[in-house]
Amino acid sequence: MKRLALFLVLAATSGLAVAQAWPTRPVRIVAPYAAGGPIDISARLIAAKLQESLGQPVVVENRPGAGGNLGVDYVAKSAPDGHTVVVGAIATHAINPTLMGSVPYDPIKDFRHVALMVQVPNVLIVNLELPAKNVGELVALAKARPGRLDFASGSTGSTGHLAGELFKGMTGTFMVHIPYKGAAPAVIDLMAGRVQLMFDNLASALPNVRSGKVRALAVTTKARSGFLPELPTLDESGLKGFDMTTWWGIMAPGKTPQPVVERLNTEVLKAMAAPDVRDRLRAMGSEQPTIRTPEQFTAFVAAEQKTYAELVKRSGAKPD
Amino acid sequence: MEILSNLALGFGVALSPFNLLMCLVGVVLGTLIGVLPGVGPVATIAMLLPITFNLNPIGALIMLAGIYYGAQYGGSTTAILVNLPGESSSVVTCLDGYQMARRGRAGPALATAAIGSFFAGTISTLVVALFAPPLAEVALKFGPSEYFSLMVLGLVAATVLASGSLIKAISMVLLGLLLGLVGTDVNSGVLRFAFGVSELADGIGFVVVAMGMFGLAEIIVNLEQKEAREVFTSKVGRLMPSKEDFKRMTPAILRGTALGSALGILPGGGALLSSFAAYTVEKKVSRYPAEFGKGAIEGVAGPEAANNAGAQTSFIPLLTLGIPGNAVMALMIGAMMIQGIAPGPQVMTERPQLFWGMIASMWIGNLMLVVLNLPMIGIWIKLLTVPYRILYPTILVFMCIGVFSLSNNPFDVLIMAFFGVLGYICAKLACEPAPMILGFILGPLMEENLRRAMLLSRGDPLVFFQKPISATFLTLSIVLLVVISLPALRSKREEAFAGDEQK
Amino acid sequence: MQIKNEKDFWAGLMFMGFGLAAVTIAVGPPAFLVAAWKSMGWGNLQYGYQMGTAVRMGPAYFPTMLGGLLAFLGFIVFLRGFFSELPPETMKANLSFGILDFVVGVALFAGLGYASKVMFKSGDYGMLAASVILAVLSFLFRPKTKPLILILACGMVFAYLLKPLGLVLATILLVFVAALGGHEYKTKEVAIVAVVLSIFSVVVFVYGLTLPFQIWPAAFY
Repeated sequence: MKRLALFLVLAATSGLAVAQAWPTRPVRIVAPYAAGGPIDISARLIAAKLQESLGQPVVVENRPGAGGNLGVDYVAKSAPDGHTVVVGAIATHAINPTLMGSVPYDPIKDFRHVALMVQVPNVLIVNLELPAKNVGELVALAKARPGRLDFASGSTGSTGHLAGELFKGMTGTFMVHIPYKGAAPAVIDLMAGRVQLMFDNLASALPNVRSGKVRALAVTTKARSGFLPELPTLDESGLKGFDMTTWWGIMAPGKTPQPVVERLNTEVLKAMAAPDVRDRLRAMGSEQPTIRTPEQFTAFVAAEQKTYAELVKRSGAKPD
Repeated sequence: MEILSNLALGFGVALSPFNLLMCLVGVVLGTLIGVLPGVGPVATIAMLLPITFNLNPIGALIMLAGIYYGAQYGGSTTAILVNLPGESSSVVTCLDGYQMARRGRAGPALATAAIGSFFAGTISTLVVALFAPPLAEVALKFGPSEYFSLMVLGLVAATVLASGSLIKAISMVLLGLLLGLVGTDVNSGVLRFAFGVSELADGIGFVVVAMGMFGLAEIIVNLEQKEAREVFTSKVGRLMPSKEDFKRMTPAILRGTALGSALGILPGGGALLSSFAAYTVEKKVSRYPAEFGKGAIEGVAGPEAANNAGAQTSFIPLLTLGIPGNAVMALMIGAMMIQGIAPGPQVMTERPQLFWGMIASMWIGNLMLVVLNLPMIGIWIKLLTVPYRILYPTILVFMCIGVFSLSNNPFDVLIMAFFGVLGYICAKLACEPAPMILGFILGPLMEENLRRAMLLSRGDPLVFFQKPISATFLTLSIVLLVVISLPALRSKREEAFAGDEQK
Repeated sequence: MQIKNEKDFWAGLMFMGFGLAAVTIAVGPPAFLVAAWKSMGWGNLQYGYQMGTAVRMGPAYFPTMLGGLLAFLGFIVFLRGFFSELPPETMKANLSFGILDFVVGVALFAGLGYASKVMFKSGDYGMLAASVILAVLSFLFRPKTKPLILILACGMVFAYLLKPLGLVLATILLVFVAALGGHEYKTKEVAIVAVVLSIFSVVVFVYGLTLPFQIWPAAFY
């Protein structure tokens, strides 16, 4: 009995010691996408703050490829000492596992889900010339011209693509999906009228909506966005139950010790709460997430994975 | 005139001591990373983004912009000195610039590049200042059909790049196109030619291919020469271009600037195409076409002017529409967002100091670059006199570190080695790498646009001829193809052009 | 028939090879091969991408067209190898290795790389081993290929040993191997260059550009 007590005490304190000791060398945040995108930017914002609070250099390392899978897989197989973490996203942890058939990692078991950073809705934006001022008119238009409307997305299997497929399914319309390499070229064609609509994520769409270059019709989340409160949700506009959010957050390899995970969680949340970071994240369209603890995050990821497994199958979206 | 008051505002902003300092830091840093093979402006700007948080937004953007066009200057230097294209737009400079260097004319080559770039930078800055909004509208008119036709034109022009056999040049273009298709297909999401290797999912990187085909192959071929002959003739000529040189480079610079300014506006590959296009134009209008590939000064002047003009005008879609034309511009948008500036058309009206300040500082940056680079020519020349046995390990070190810094994956070096072997074989078999590189870059873009155009037109191939801009490009391609192949068909001795056959 | 133009001969073969490879990979295995594969009990031989139609092109469409065109042009170049009229000396390929050496080299890399992937989950060790073995073989049997093999080997050595050895040691090693591939090898000179370059690299790349390289061997951390 005494032995057990001693053992427990030692375990607890060593855990604490590990947490206190960590980090002992530079920390790497792997961003599994190319530099410059919203995920990369938010990672860099956090990194700067973490560097101050952790006392060690925190660098963002871009490892783009395979829709984010490369970078995520790399970290899943890295040493679980808390010095290598990754920004896991809805694409890598909820959509790709089903869309691609299989991925070389387990989105739940191979990771500790440390802290959710950003949740942004997608926005349904249309070309200004399109004679549809709200979702209802759009659906009517699509029904009147089956197969004549095109919707763009930043890549096959992205939330924009899935949102479009889901929209088609729920409204019984037929529109053609036009994939692009990234949101930017898609938006160009949208503004020029070569494609008619797009479900772009709020971070990249907000400036264009505000400047009036495209017209926003609705948001894809169940709740209205605080940034475009005048926009109805798709759920309100007749597509009952429509709820899609793009999210991403910090994740660590599965066997990272609990004290490290908790300390990292605290620090990341603190960094996000810093006024300048918070403002910049808001400029991207993201409010402070309501999911705060690693356990909540893990449960969230598991739920998302199930939801999107179903959605992907239902939408019939395939990497051909 | 409104433009004058705007420019006055801009210069007032750009000439503040802090912004001047930012400009200087940017262009120096840009030159440095442009010179280092492998490390490019994208990586550097990405790394510097956090530093910009705490800086004044205008200063930060000025510095980042300086890095970008500074890298163009630096890239030309490496292209001329060691045949390594740091940026895709420097590939063309390698062709004649490096040959000039080998013949002891590195000085005039570097000077031509600097002068041409400065001139082009000045003119294109003016273009940006005067015509930014209308030009942006033109950019919007380019849809998939137009891009496809433009690329077809570019590829046909690419065959002109080769000084050897035409049919081999076309084959190299095709090979490049095929190699460019490795990776994930945009339209269907299918992974092609990847053999299960996940690192190939996003295709083979341009830098890796360029380092292998140009850098490694060149070093290996040089080392295989039977005697330890110095690669660069020790008879280094004059440092500055001669009067004759100036006479020849001036019209080339003018043409290059025009081409670059026009093509740079197009998002996605516009700036790159401009340097290739300039080279083709120069070769076709020159009175000394046989010199091309052996060190024709127009072959450096035109493309250099074009790629700098293109670099400046590629800011137009960014500043006026908030749309990034390439990866660097995407980063600039990121930087703007971090600063809380929403990129878009309203930037010009809501933040005139930012808009005009950036334009003014672009010109100042170009001026700084010329002032920095011209005297450096003397130093670079000295570097070339270092014995090759010390020079090439140095080049190798920088290449390997540079490639590695891209994605921290040893796999990239493996690919570089593969292309080194391929480049070596091609060099020995008299197949030129430049057309292949152009095919490599344009291939995936071409296919993407072809399929997208067909999707949008619901399968009507006539759409390429129905849209006016697209039709123009396609017709030009056909005309060009005929013009190129006529001499080849007439005389079977086109192999006589191939001066590089003796390897 | 005599090969008049070696360069065109091999160039043509190379183009044909690439072109045909592209087509066969894109289109998938021919029916008889699938049947034969199955009958051997090796399972289902399935690869290839969808062709689609000219209207809705599948992923295989463009590669097949390009590959076919390339193979065709390659064939023409290949034929030219027999009919060229230029002086034969300029038409020699002068490759430092022959076709057999090439096959051996490729087999080594492919084999060892695959084996190491199966055994160690990472192809890195196999690649490294293959480069070293190839370098040794080339020293012994094909001295003319020295520059080619060594330059390639030094790149591989650097890439795979950067993590374990750290930047300084890997750079020094890189310079030594590279210098071995050249004509003159003066140990002291090479050593100086190696040290200078590694210091320079550390200063410029790690401190100056803050690239995430480890300076010292992994064991130190």
